[in-house]
Amino acid sequence: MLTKYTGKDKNPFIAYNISSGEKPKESKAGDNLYIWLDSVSIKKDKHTKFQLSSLDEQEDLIAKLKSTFIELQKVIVPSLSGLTKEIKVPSPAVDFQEEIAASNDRLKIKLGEEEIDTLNPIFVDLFNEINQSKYILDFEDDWDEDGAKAYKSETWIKAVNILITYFNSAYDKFGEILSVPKIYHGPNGAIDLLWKSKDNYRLLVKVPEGSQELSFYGDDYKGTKFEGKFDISEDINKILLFALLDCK
Amino acid sequence: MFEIEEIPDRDKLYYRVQKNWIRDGRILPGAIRERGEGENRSMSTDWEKYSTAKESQDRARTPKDNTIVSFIVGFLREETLLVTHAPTEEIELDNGSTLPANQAHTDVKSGQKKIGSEEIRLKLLEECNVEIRFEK
Repeated sequence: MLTKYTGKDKNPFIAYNISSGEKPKESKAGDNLYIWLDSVSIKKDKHTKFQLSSLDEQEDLIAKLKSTFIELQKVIVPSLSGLTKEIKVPSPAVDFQEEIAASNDRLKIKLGEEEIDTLNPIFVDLFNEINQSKYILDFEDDWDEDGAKAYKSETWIKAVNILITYFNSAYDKFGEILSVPKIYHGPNGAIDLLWKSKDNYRLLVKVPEGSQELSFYGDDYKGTKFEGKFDISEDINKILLFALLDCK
Repeated sequence: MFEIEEIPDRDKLYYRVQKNWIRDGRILPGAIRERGEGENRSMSTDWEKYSTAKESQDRARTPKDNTIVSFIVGFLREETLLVTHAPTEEIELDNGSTLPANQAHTDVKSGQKKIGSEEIRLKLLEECNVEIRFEK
Protein backbone atom coordinates (compact mmCIF):
# COMPACT_ATOMS: atom_id res chain seq x y z
CA MET A 1 0.00 0.00 0.00
CA LEU A 2 1.50 3.30 -1.04
CA THR A 3 0.43 6.34 0.85
CA LYS A 4 1.40 9.77 -0.17
CA TYR A 5 0.65 13.23 1.05
CA THR A 6 1.58 16.39 -0.78
CA GLY A 7 1.58 19.72 0.97
CA LYS A 8 0.41 23.02 -0.34
CA ASP A 9 2.27 24.67 -3.19
CA LYS A 10 5.92 25.19 -2.34
CA ASN A 11 5.45 23.75 1.13
CA PRO A 12 7.51 20.75 2.08
CA PHE A 13 5.63 17.55 1.80
CA ILE A 14 6.04 14.20 3.26
CA ALA A 15 5.54 11.03 1.36
CA TYR A 16 6.26 7.62 2.57
CA ASN A 17 5.92 4.10 1.55
CA ILE A 18 5.85 1.17 3.84
CA SER A 19 7.72 -1.29 1.82
CA SER A 20 10.44 -3.86 2.09
CA GLY A 21 11.20 -3.35 -1.58
CA GLU A 22 10.44 -1.07 -4.42
CA LYS A 23 6.87 -2.17 -4.88
CA PRO A 24 4.19 -0.97 -2.52
CA LYS A 25 2.55 -3.60 -0.41
CA GLU A 26 0.57 -4.04 2.72
CA SER A 27 2.50 -3.02 5.78
CA LYS A 28 3.47 -5.29 8.62
CA ALA A 29 5.72 -5.23 11.65
CA GLY A 30 9.34 -5.15 10.66
CA ASP A 31 8.75 -3.19 7.50
CA ASN A 32 10.74 -0.12 6.78
CA LEU A 33 9.08 3.24 6.70
CA TYR A 34 10.78 5.59 4.29
CA ILE A 35 10.21 9.26 4.69
CA TRP A 36 11.09 11.81 2.09
CA LEU A 37 11.12 15.48 2.70
CA ASP A 38 11.53 17.74 -0.22
CA SER A 39 9.78 20.80 -1.46
CA VAL A 40 9.93 19.87 -5.12
CA SER A 41 10.04 16.17 -5.68
CA ILE A 42 10.62 12.85 -4.10
CA LYS A 43 14.24 11.88 -4.25
CA LYS A 44 15.44 8.51 -3.15
CA ASP A 45 18.63 9.84 -1.68
CA LYS A 46 16.78 12.25 0.57
CA HIS A 47 14.88 9.80 2.68
CA THR A 48 15.11 8.87 6.31
CA LYS A 49 14.42 5.26 7.12
CA PHE A 50 12.64 3.96 10.16
CA GLN A 51 12.02 0.33 10.88
CA LEU A 52 8.88 -0.41 12.79
CA SER A 53 8.70 -3.43 15.01
CA SER A 54 5.66 -2.66 17.09
CA LEU A 55 2.67 -0.40 17.33
CA ASP A 56 4.36 1.39 20.22
CA GLU A 57 7.22 2.29 17.97
CA GLN A 58 4.79 3.61 15.43
CA GLU A 59 3.29 5.88 18.06
CA ASP A 60 6.78 7.10 18.98
CA LEU A 61 7.42 7.85 15.36
CA ILE A 62 4.23 9.82 15.07
CA ALA A 63 5.27 11.88 18.08
CA LYS A 64 8.62 12.47 16.47
CA LEU A 65 7.02 13.56 13.24
CA LYS A 66 4.81 15.96 15.13
CA SER A 67 7.73 17.53 16.89
CA THR A 68 10.01 17.63 13.87
CA PHE A 69 8.08 18.71 10.84
CA ILE A 70 6.41 22.00 10.35
CA GLU A 71 4.06 23.41 7.77
CA LEU A 72 2.44 20.05 7.33
CA GLN A 73 -1.28 19.98 7.61
CA LYS A 74 -1.50 16.28 8.15
CA VAL A 75 0.54 13.15 8.13
CA ILE A 76 -0.89 9.95 6.90
CA VAL A 77 0.53 7.12 8.87
CA PRO A 78 0.09 3.61 7.63
CA SER A 79 -0.94 1.41 10.47
CA LEU A 80 0.64 -1.95 10.90
CA SER A 81 -2.65 -3.57 10.05
CA GLY A 82 -2.33 -2.13 6.58
CA LEU A 83 -4.93 0.55 7.09
CA THR A 84 -4.07 4.20 7.02
CA LYS A 85 -5.05 6.91 9.40
CA GLU A 86 -4.67 10.64 9.15
CA ILE A 87 -3.20 12.67 11.94
CA LYS A 88 -3.37 16.39 12.24
CA VAL A 89 0.01 17.90 12.85
CA PRO A 90 -0.15 21.05 14.94
CA SER A 91 2.20 23.92 14.31
CA PRO A 92 5.08 23.88 16.76
CA ALA A 93 4.55 26.01 19.84
CA VAL A 94 7.40 28.40 19.35
CA ASP A 95 7.78 32.13 19.51
CA PHE A 96 9.19 32.44 16.05
CA GLN A 97 6.12 31.65 14.03
CA GLU A 98 6.56 34.62 11.73
CA GLU A 99 10.09 33.55 10.98
CA ILE A 100 8.98 30.00 10.32
CA ALA A 101 6.59 31.32 7.75
CA ALA A 102 9.49 32.81 5.86
CA SER A 103 9.72 32.63 2.13
CA ASN A 104 10.69 29.33 0.57
CA ASP A 105 10.08 27.68 3.92
CA ARG A 106 13.61 28.34 5.11
CA LEU A 107 13.97 29.35 8.75
CA LYS A 108 15.72 32.67 8.97
CA ILE A 109 18.25 33.09 11.72
CA LYS A 110 18.50 36.75 12.56
CA LEU A 111 20.60 38.84 14.86
CA GLY A 112 18.75 42.09 15.14
CA GLU A 113 17.82 42.94 11.57
CA GLU A 114 20.76 41.06 10.09
CA GLU A 115 20.05 37.67 8.57
CA ILE A 116 22.82 35.32 9.66
CA ASP A 117 21.79 32.21 7.81
CA THR A 118 18.80 30.11 6.91
CA LEU A 119 17.86 26.61 7.99
CA ASN A 120 15.99 23.75 6.48
CA PRO A 121 12.65 23.67 8.35
CA ILE A 122 13.26 20.12 9.50
CA PHE A 123 15.81 21.63 11.88
CA VAL A 124 13.19 23.60 13.78
CA ASP A 125 14.45 22.38 17.16
CA LEU A 126 17.93 23.63 16.34
CA PHE A 127 16.40 26.89 15.18
CA ASN A 128 14.64 27.29 18.53
CA GLU A 129 17.80 26.54 20.49
CA ILE A 130 19.80 29.03 18.43
CA ASN A 131 17.22 31.71 19.12
CA GLN A 132 17.18 30.91 22.84
CA SER A 133 20.97 31.18 22.95
CA LYS A 134 20.86 34.84 21.99
CA TYR A 135 20.76 35.52 25.75
CA ILE A 136 24.56 35.11 25.61
CA LEU A 137 24.89 38.41 23.80
CA ASP A 138 23.03 40.26 26.57
CA PHE A 139 25.86 39.86 29.09
CA GLU A 140 27.79 43.03 29.83
CA ASP A 141 31.39 43.28 31.06
CA ASP A 142 31.90 41.85 34.58
CA TRP A 143 28.70 39.82 34.32
CA ASP A 144 30.21 37.20 36.68
CA GLU A 145 31.49 39.77 39.20
CA ASP A 146 34.95 38.46 38.42
CA GLY A 147 35.91 40.55 35.44
CA ALA A 148 34.42 38.42 32.65
CA LYS A 149 34.01 40.29 29.39
CA ALA A 150 30.90 40.49 27.25
CA TYR A 151 30.57 37.90 24.49
CA LYS A 152 31.22 38.94 20.92
CA SER A 153 28.53 38.45 18.30
CA GLU A 154 31.22 37.07 15.93
CA THR A 155 31.80 34.16 18.29
CA TRP A 156 28.09 33.40 18.55
CA ILE A 157 27.72 33.57 14.76
CA LYS A 158 30.71 31.26 14.36
CA ALA A 159 29.08 28.72 16.69
CA VAL A 160 25.79 28.95 14.80
CA ASN A 161 27.53 28.46 11.47
CA ILE A 162 29.37 25.40 12.76
CA LEU A 163 26.13 23.85 13.97
CA ILE A 164 24.41 24.49 10.66
CA THR A 165 27.35 23.01 8.76
CA TYR A 166 27.28 19.79 10.77
CA PHE A 167 23.50 19.45 10.78
CA ASN A 168 23.41 19.90 7.02
CA SER A 169 26.27 17.50 6.49
CA ALA A 170 24.74 14.75 8.64
CA TYR A 171 21.43 15.15 6.85
CA ASP A 172 22.84 15.34 3.34
CA LYS A 173 25.29 12.45 3.74
CA PHE A 174 23.44 10.14 6.08
CA GLY A 175 19.83 11.30 6.15
CA GLU A 176 20.19 11.86 9.89
CA ILE A 177 18.91 14.75 11.95
CA LEU A 178 21.42 15.34 14.71
CA SER A 179 20.41 15.79 18.32
CA VAL A 180 20.19 19.45 19.22
CA PRO A 181 22.83 20.63 21.71
CA LYS A 182 22.45 23.21 24.41
CA ILE A 183 24.23 26.40 23.41
CA TYR A 184 25.82 28.05 26.43
CA HIS A 185 28.26 30.82 27.23
CA GLY A 186 31.66 29.34 27.93
CA PRO A 187 34.95 30.41 29.46
CA ASN A 188 36.99 33.37 28.20
CA GLY A 189 34.48 34.54 25.63
CA ALA A 190 33.98 31.08 24.10
CA ILE A 191 30.67 29.42 23.27
CA ASP A 192 30.06 25.89 24.55
CA LEU A 193 27.94 23.37 22.67
CA LEU A 194 26.79 20.57 24.96
CA TRP A 195 25.22 17.28 23.93
CA LYS A 196 24.30 15.14 26.87
CA SER A 197 22.20 12.12 27.60
CA LYS A 198 22.29 10.73 31.11
CA ASP A 199 24.27 7.46 31.04
CA ASN A 200 24.59 7.28 27.26
CA TYR A 201 26.83 10.04 25.98
CA ARG A 202 28.22 13.46 26.69
CA LEU A 203 29.99 15.70 24.24
CA LEU A 204 31.30 19.20 24.74
CA VAL A 205 32.51 21.41 21.91
CA LYS A 206 34.18 24.74 22.57
CA VAL A 207 33.99 27.48 19.96
CA PRO A 208 36.63 29.97 21.04
CA GLU A 209 36.64 33.72 20.71
CA GLY A 210 39.06 34.89 18.05
CA SER A 211 40.79 31.62 17.25
CA GLN A 212 39.60 29.30 14.51
CA GLU A 213 40.66 26.23 16.47
CA LEU A 214 37.68 24.29 17.75
CA SER A 215 38.15 21.66 20.46
CA PHE A 216 35.91 18.85 21.61
CA TYR A 217 35.69 15.91 23.98
CA GLY A 218 33.04 13.24 24.30
CA ASP A 219 32.55 9.83 25.86
CA ASP A 220 29.91 7.26 26.68
CA TYR A 221 30.66 7.37 30.43
CA LYS A 222 32.61 4.15 29.90
CA GLY A 223 35.61 3.32 27.79
CA THR A 224 34.72 4.93 24.50
CA LYS A 225 35.89 8.49 24.11
CA PHE A 226 36.81 10.87 21.35
CA GLU A 227 38.52 14.21 21.44
CA GLY A 228 40.30 16.54 19.13
CA LYS A 229 41.09 19.98 17.87
CA PHE A 230 40.81 21.25 14.36
CA ASP A 231 40.68 24.40 12.31
CA ILE A 232 37.09 25.22 11.46
CA SER A 233 38.10 26.74 8.15
CA GLU A 234 39.06 23.26 6.96
CA ASP A 235 36.70 20.51 5.84
CA ILE A 236 34.18 18.85 8.11
CA ASN A 237 35.98 17.01 10.91
CA LYS A 238 34.94 13.40 10.42
CA ILE A 239 35.60 12.35 14.01
CA LEU A 240 33.34 15.07 15.31
CA LEU A 241 30.69 14.31 12.71
CA PHE A 242 30.60 10.63 13.62
CA ALA A 243 30.61 11.52 17.32
CA LEU A 244 27.58 13.72 16.71
CA LEU A 245 25.86 10.98 14.73
CA ASP A 246 26.39 8.72 17.73
CA CYS A 247 24.71 11.17 20.12
CA LYS A 248 21.25 9.72 19.75
CA MET B 1 51.78 32.10 59.03
CA PHE B 2 49.56 29.10 58.43
CA GLU B 3 51.13 25.70 58.07
CA ILE B 4 50.70 24.12 54.65
CA GLU B 5 49.15 20.71 55.12
CA GLU B 6 48.65 17.61 53.00
CA ILE B 7 44.99 17.24 52.05
CA PRO B 8 43.62 13.68 52.24
CA ASP B 9 41.94 12.21 49.17
CA ARG B 10 38.69 11.68 51.03
CA ASP B 11 38.23 15.37 51.93
CA LYS B 12 35.99 17.87 50.18
CA LEU B 13 36.82 21.18 48.58
CA TYR B 14 34.22 23.92 48.20
CA TYR B 15 34.03 25.90 44.97
CA ARG B 16 31.97 29.00 44.28
CA VAL B 17 29.81 29.19 41.16
CA GLN B 18 28.42 32.64 40.42
CA LYS B 19 24.71 32.55 39.51
CA ASN B 20 25.28 33.61 35.90
CA TRP B 21 27.06 30.29 35.37
CA ILE B 22 23.80 28.52 36.15
CA ARG B 23 21.03 28.25 33.62
CA ASP B 24 17.70 26.47 34.03
CA GLY B 25 19.01 25.09 37.30
CA ARG B 26 22.09 23.54 35.69
CA ILE B 27 25.68 24.50 36.29
CA LEU B 28 27.33 25.21 32.95
CA PRO B 29 30.64 23.67 31.84
CA GLY B 30 32.11 27.16 31.64
CA ALA B 31 31.89 27.47 35.41
CA ILE B 32 34.82 25.07 35.72
CA ARG B 33 37.75 27.35 35.09
CA GLU B 34 41.02 28.67 36.39
CA ARG B 35 41.68 32.22 37.40
CA GLY B 36 44.91 34.17 37.68
CA GLU B 37 48.01 34.23 35.53
CA GLY B 38 51.18 32.16 35.18
CA GLU B 39 52.11 30.05 38.19
CA ASN B 40 49.23 31.51 40.16
CA ARG B 41 46.67 30.24 37.68
CA SER B 42 44.33 27.85 39.49
CA MET B 43 40.81 26.99 40.53
CA SER B 44 40.39 28.64 43.90
CA THR B 45 38.68 26.38 46.47
CA ASP B 46 38.22 26.06 50.23
CA TRP B 47 39.18 22.94 52.20
CA GLU B 48 36.42 21.62 54.40
CA LYS B 49 38.84 21.21 57.32
CA TYR B 50 38.93 24.97 57.81
CA SER B 51 35.75 26.18 56.14
CA THR B 52 32.09 25.35 55.94
CA ALA B 53 30.20 25.69 52.68
CA LYS B 54 28.46 28.75 54.10
CA GLU B 55 31.76 30.40 55.03
CA SER B 56 32.99 29.72 51.51
CA GLN B 57 29.88 31.37 50.11
CA ASP B 58 30.38 34.37 52.41
CA ARG B 59 33.82 34.99 50.88
CA ALA B 60 32.20 35.91 47.54
CA ARG B 61 31.72 39.55 46.59
CA THR B 62 27.94 39.00 46.67
CA PRO B 63 27.45 35.83 48.73
CA LYS B 64 23.77 35.30 47.96
CA ASP B 65 24.58 35.25 44.22
CA ASN B 66 26.82 32.22 44.57
CA THR B 67 26.11 28.51 44.60
CA ILE B 68 28.61 26.37 46.48
CA VAL B 69 29.58 22.98 45.07
CA SER B 70 32.05 20.46 46.43
CA PHE B 71 34.59 18.10 44.89
CA ILE B 72 36.23 15.08 46.46
CA VAL B 73 39.99 15.56 46.40
CA GLY B 74 40.68 11.95 45.38
CA PHE B 75 38.60 12.38 42.24
CA LEU B 76 40.48 15.53 41.25
CA ARG B 77 43.80 13.74 41.69
CA GLU B 78 42.58 10.74 39.69
CA GLU B 79 42.02 13.18 36.85
CA THR B 80 45.68 14.29 37.25
CA LEU B 81 44.79 17.68 38.74
CA LEU B 82 47.15 19.07 41.39
CA VAL B 83 45.56 19.86 44.74
CA THR B 84 47.64 22.04 47.04
CA HIS B 85 46.75 23.63 50.34
CA ALA B 86 47.52 27.33 49.87
CA PRO B 87 46.33 29.30 52.92
CA THR B 88 46.37 33.06 52.50
CA GLU B 89 47.24 35.71 55.05
CA GLU B 90 45.29 38.93 55.48
CA ILE B 91 45.95 41.23 52.54
CA GLU B 92 45.60 45.00 52.51
CA LEU B 93 44.05 46.15 49.24
CA ASP B 94 44.81 49.34 47.32
CA ASN B 95 41.50 50.89 48.34
CA GLY B 96 42.41 50.57 52.01
CA SER B 97 40.17 47.63 52.76
CA THR B 98 41.52 44.24 53.77
CA LEU B 99 41.00 40.76 52.41
CA PRO B 100 40.70 38.47 55.44
CA ALA B 101 43.06 35.56 55.94
CA ASN B 102 41.80 32.21 54.66
CA GLN B 103 43.36 29.10 56.14
CA ALA B 104 41.07 26.92 54.00
CA HIS B 105 42.26 28.26 50.67
CA THR B 106 43.36 25.49 48.32
CA ASP B 107 44.62 25.67 44.76
CA VAL B 108 43.55 23.16 42.14
CA LYS B 109 45.87 23.37 39.16
CA SER B 110 46.11 21.67 35.80
CA GLY B 111 48.14 18.49 35.69
CA GLN B 112 48.56 16.26 32.65
CA LYS B 113 44.99 17.23 31.88
CA LYS B 114 44.12 20.92 31.72
CA ILE B 115 41.33 22.38 33.82
CA GLY B 116 40.13 24.35 30.82
CA SER B 117 39.93 21.23 28.65
CA GLU B 118 36.54 19.97 27.57
CA GLU B 119 37.22 16.61 29.23
CA ILE B 120 37.92 18.06 32.67
CA ARG B 121 35.09 20.56 32.45
CA LEU B 122 32.60 17.81 31.56
CA LYS B 123 33.84 15.41 34.23
CA LEU B 124 34.05 17.92 37.07
CA LEU B 125 30.59 19.12 36.23
CA GLU B 126 29.27 15.59 36.63
CA GLU B 127 31.15 14.91 39.85
CA CYS B 128 30.41 18.05 41.85
CA ASN B 129 27.78 18.11 44.55
CA VAL B 130 25.70 21.17 45.22
CA GLU B 131 26.05 22.23 48.86
CA ILE B 132 24.26 25.60 48.86
CA ARG B 133 22.20 27.15 46.08
CA PHE B 134 22.25 30.86 45.31
CA GLU B 135 19.26 32.90 46.41
CA LYS B 136 16.77 33.61 43.64
